Amino acid sequence: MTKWVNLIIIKKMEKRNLAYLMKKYGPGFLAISKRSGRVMVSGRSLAQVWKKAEEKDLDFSKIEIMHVPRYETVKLYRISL
Amino acid sequence: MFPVMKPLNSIEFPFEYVILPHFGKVFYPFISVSLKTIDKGWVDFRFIVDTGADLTTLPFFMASKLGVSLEKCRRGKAEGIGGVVVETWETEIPIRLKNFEFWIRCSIVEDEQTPFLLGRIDVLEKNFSLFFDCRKRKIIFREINDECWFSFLWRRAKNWVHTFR
Repeated sequence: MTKWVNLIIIKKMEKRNLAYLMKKYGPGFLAISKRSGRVMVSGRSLAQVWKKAEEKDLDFSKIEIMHVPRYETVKLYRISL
Repeated sequence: MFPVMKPLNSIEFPFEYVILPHFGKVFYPFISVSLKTIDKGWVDFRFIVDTGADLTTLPFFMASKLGVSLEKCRRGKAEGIGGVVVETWETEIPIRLKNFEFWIRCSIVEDEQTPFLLGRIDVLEKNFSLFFDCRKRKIIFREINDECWFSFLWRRAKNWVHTFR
């Protein structure tokens, strides 16, 4: 029983662990479910993700779109005008 | 023991972490921000709170989705790490941070792989104070309304006019 509970917890953690998402989908964009954190659509570009989400007929009010950076790199963002 | 009083004019986001191979657990300041798209209404995007960025930046694809006509925008250049210069288009868009809706100036970057960055202009200093509460593990945006009632009302009126324009 505890083994199954642990497995469920690990699976849930995996969904929320960004490193896992970065390893699997990065670099690119994802559409994740706001409720469960499940990855609904993934793609290399935002246009691809948007198109796939439209094709799947997803409810855009129930998803969140995010950028996934490349794994194993340190991110340094600075935008100066 | 005692209930913690949370100010009504603040928005909180929990810390998110990434486990990097050489550095271990690294805190990522991700927050959810809604943008008004022309075909799908308000859609949530996960932004990185970047206090090092002057301006909020969006990838190129967002221009078409937000209904921004690039011909009318002022063109500019943005410089990032390593001195890489990219072309940008500066515009103004409405954003929603949970229940706060306001207009910000932002730049649309030529690149498609640009992450959603929430910069300082029109977000920090003008509308919100930002706290990284490491004890509660939360990012807290506190609306600047307790300093001066007049400036608060003026800001609210300006946003209200913007939404109906």
